[in-house]
Amino acid sequence: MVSCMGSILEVDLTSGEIKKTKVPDEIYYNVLSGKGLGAWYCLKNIPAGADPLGPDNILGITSGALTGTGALFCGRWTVVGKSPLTGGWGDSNCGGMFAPAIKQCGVDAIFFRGVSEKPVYLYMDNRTCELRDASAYWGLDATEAEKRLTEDSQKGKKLPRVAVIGQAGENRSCIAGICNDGGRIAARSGLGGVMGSKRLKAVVLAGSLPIRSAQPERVKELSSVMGRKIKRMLVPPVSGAMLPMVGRMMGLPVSFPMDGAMSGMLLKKWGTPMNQALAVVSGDAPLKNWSGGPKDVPGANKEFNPDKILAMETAKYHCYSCPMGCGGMLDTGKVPGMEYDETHKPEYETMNQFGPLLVNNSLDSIFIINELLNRAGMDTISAGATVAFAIECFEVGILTKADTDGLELTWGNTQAIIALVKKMIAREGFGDVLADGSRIAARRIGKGSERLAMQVGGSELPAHDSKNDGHLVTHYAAEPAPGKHTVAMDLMYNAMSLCDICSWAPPAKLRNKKENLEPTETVALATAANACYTMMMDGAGGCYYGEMMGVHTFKLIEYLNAAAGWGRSGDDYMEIGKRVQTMRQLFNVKQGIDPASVKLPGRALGYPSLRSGPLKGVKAPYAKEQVSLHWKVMGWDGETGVPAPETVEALGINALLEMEVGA
Amino acid sequence: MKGKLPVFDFEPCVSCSVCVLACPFSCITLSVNGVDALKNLYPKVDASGCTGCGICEKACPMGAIRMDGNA
Ligand code: SF4
Ligand code: SF4
Ligand code: SF4
Repeated sequence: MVSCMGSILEVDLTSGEIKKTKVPDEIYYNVLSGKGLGAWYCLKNIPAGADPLGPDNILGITSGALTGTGALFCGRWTVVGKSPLTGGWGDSNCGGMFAPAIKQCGVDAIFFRGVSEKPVYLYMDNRTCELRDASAYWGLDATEAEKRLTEDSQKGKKLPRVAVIGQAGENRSCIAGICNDGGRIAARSGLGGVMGSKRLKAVVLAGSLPIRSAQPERVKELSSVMGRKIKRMLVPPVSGAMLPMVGRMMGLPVSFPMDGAMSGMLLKKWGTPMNQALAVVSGDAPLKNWSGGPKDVPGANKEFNPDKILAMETAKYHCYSCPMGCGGMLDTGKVPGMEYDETHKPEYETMNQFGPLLVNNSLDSIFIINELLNRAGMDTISAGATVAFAIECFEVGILTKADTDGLELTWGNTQAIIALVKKMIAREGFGDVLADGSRIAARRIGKGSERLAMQVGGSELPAHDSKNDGHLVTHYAAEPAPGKHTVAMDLMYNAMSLCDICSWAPPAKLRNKKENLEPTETVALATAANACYTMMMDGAGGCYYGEMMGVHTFKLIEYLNAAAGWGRSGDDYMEIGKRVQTMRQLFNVKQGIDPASVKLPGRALGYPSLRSGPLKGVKAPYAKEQVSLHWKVMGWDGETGVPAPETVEALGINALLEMEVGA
Repeated sequence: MKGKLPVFDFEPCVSCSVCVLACPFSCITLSVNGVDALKNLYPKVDASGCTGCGICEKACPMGAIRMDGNA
């Protein structure tokens, strides 16, 4: 594939051996790069039963097939491996400037196996590639370590790009992620803990090799059309205080197709925090550990008005090749109790997980927690859900102050929440009990506490209520890396017009939201199509918010054809997505995960149902049937979730697994 | 061999950093603030390091760079 480098780096941290090897072109043709390349490599090479925190696990750091070609919205890198949180497939992606740096070193991915005796980091540029002593950086938070590694390894003016773990990864936390660009984080799946278990502090990349594409002028033309549209997109002249009204509209019991550019306009102005003001009202935001309605979080809309965040913004932040810039840098110099003068704008996920989910009504505390967790390299989604679990355990008497090191863990106790986060980062006292997420914490605490852990297959649920967005009933449980909203949602499906590039994707129509909670083939076709498309997009290195703009704005198929010099159809690319998704599921089966046992907790399905708010009384009684139909559309067994042998054969997966990387 | 310097047109520029990575001498940073109400950052060249090679101009997807400045 012209736009890929055609090689990977294989690093054995036990022996110190480093090899650059060629990847057969068929692999790119069949799975693209990024998550697809990672799925192929890990399915082939991670042995069944590998200890996620042991030498047999492989940590892959991958770039995208379109990254660096001039395609917009294509600057995401993906980390892959066996997740210590779920015991199955793990991946997570992140933006910033790191993704193209991988390719500029001449490889599409770097795979680490083994365990180093001492802390090390990998340094790579056009000529050099070596493991270096990281003892001077071990113990530093991710932002500080990144700063020092950048300074210490910079030769001339070329700025090295660094992916690094903080204390959470070093402490092998199962909810640790990997950071870059001073607080962006590939957070989910606990792969930062895997990196820490390998004593790999960082990857420092300073290459400058060119990244090619087959038809650069066509790629440019596609970018220019989309870029102009986004640049001209009017930012709505509404204030943040008006967003709850929009939320009321989103909370109506109807689901309808819309232009993805709508969300783009809001993201361009506020970034994801705009969703907080919508979500409490619309029913999107889980409140009080998934047990409350808007009345349980009085004042949240006022406190979390995104205009307050805009007022602190010093500059927008764009990931590499992004024309939108949903990120931002905030001046936090005046935030009481905050140690740091700056933080990346918190994401909606972070805001809700540490705000309304905990009945915490302090925006200032969100900035503090955001920076603490970004520096520590700990997933804010999992950490917030785990704190919610602990608070509810305390409230119902499962935990007392004797268990919590004296912390009064009541709803909305801001200072106790901050103190607990610090303990989790340091694995200190009660923090150690929580530092590996809620499923492991519930096992440690016992006393029936597991019913209060809002996790699926070990992975904590993010800040989108599945009763509001029925596609999530399927995705949270059926996704090979469960509990993720970033694979697909009904909201996204409505915005994408997938039916225009895929012959089997049903058109989104105006319908009652309840129809999304029923086991129909239409819903299953939509969830499967969306998941397959996202897999293909992840292989390209694309951003979810680009995807959300829809296929007529972010022309991924045209981009891939132009970059690779192919003339493939939408259906062809959807098959790539299905292949990658099937490989991820095969990975789970190989690792002994029983897909049918991965189930959403009762609250996520309305058991017991909410007593107030837009989701009052809403239930999702057909979760099992919905997942089963989704599996069938994927060509997997409807009962077990195991990919059918005919499907595996038809997708050519066995033949791909026989292929080897070469010298 | 020092030729012309890149000149950035902020009108079409989408602050995407493609030029930043493309420059083999790391001469471009996104650092111009205050151009638009959204506080997007815009590119600036460090003239002392720029060789005038024009790679950034070719890389920019938005046609926002012209090799027109005086070295
Ligand atoms: S939309 Fe946001 S997350 Fe996506 S590439 Fe742009 S800045 Fe990064
Ligand atoms: S002309 Fe060449 S050296 Fe100068 S900024 Fe552009 S890419 Fe860099
Ligand atoms: S590549 Fe072009 S559009 Fe992107 S930041 Fe540079 S000048 Fe602006």
